[in-house]
Amino acid sequence: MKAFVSMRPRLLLSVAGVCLLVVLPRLLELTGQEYLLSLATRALIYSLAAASLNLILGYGGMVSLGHAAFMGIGAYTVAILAHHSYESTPVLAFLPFLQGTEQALIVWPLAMLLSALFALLTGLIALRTRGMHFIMITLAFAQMLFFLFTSLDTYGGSDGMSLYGRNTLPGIDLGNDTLLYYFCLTVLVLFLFFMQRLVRSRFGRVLEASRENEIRVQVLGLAPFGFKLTSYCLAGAAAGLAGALLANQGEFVSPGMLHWTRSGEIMVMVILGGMARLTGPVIGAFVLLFLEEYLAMFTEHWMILLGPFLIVVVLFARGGIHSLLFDRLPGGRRAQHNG
Amino acid sequence: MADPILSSARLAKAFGGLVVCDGVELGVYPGEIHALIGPNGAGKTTLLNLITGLLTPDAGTLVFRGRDITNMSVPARARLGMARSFQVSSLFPSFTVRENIELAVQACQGSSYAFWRRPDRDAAITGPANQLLQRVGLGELAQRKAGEIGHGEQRQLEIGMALASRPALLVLDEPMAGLGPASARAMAHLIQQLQGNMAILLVEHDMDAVFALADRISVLVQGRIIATGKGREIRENEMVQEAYLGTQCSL
Repeated sequence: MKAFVSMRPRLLLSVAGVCLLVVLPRLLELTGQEYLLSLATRALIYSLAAASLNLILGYGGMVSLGHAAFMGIGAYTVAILAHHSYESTPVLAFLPFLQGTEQALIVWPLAMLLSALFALLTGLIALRTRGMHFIMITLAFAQMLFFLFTSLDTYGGSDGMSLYGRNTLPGIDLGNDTLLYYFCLTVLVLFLFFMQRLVRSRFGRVLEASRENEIRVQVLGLAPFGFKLTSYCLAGAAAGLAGALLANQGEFVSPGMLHWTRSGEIMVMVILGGMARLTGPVIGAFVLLFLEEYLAMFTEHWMILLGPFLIVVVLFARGGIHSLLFDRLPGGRRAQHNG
Repeated sequence: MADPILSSARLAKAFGGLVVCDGVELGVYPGEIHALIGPNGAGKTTLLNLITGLLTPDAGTLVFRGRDITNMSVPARARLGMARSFQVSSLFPSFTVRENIELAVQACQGSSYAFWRRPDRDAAITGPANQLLQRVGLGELAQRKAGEIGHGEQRQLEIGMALASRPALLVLDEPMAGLGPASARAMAHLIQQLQGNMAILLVEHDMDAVFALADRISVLVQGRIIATGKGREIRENEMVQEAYLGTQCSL
């Protein structure tokens, strides 16, 4: 009971964060900044992608530089199915019964499934490597996909393609920007809840143990490969869902969504917010996207300002912004060390 | 005598031109403490790595509990009843002492592909974990990070993790290395308590400990086992005396 009471400041801060996200659309409305709602929605979607990367990067120790590929697959699943739905043509000419659709309940699970499948196939190969090799091989797989979509002229090639509208979901009008915002927030909170259970489960323990000392895991009788591959596929599926949401939010997809620089951005969100910390990537995604927005107002060379900021955070807060906010509170990691 | 629980036949391993294991014939019997001694560079750790599967031999066979394990993976050997500690403590440094033990318990109990329930609230895991913590004397330090506790305590923790699976064969690579006199005595006491419950293959440089603990001793020199026998037989063996001549270790 005492432990619970001392945890409260941290709990309060988390609850305050969620409350802020809940009232954000209203706040923007009151301050006449409704145009920021779409940015906030994108930040929620990127939070989901970054949180999924955190599972493999932060908890699993797998430095993947190809996470945008999963988002790209999710986004293109939405766009390609929508395209064939508009044209009433089959998705694959030799399978005439496979028609396009705009039903979210069909499209989104499919987006997750295809992303997970891509994760499975590439993971089987990539996870046999370590360190720098793993970074390069995940990067290579993502770039292969980037060039594939660049060359698909039916689907807009390097220009990408626009959607005529968002997917349809029974009971929720996704065309309404505020509703889409709340929908994305719900998805994010559900995912974080799932992830919290996951990292504290038996599976999560083995995943973190594999990051710490793979040989020891083996000697204890467990093969780390399966745990890493499973988490890689789970992360891929979640990032695929993020991609599908992003395509709906912007009503546009392009190969730029899966360029390696985008993978780098997602990685920066995780490191900036705090690796292996549940809500770190959410903080990272919001800070990065909003900083970009505000710095770009002052100067088009905003990266000159963002770069040093990132360096300062990485140098002085190894657990990212999350550690600056939470660690000194009672029940936090820093507080535990001293007490 | 019963059949050996672990036996190797003509086991060989070379790194490039350097032969580190040269036709090793070793038999470890159930319940015995079998010490493996030899001068530095004799290939003791290599032999342990071959036995536990971290290295694959160039030739020869390994039989454990009646099964040919020569090409078996490390985790599969562990599940068959083999546990080990390392020369340099091999732990999960950012986990707490308790979490280290809990993971070891979890590894030999049911599937670890469980995505929902917390192992630290599962009596099937916390129960045995508590017992192990007491057994290796780390109850007080359970909440500390494994990377932050003392060297001797880390060694005890490693033994605790190895014991979680109730192994049939416990492989210990220099468990006393770097320990002060008091910790070394505690470690010797711990190993003595295990005697008879499981076979122990012990590599150790502390000769007093070896002769006090071991039921039988094998002497490894330049990748070959030159003698195996009881403490007295080894002490009186001329080849062994010759091998150790000029080294600091005195028998």
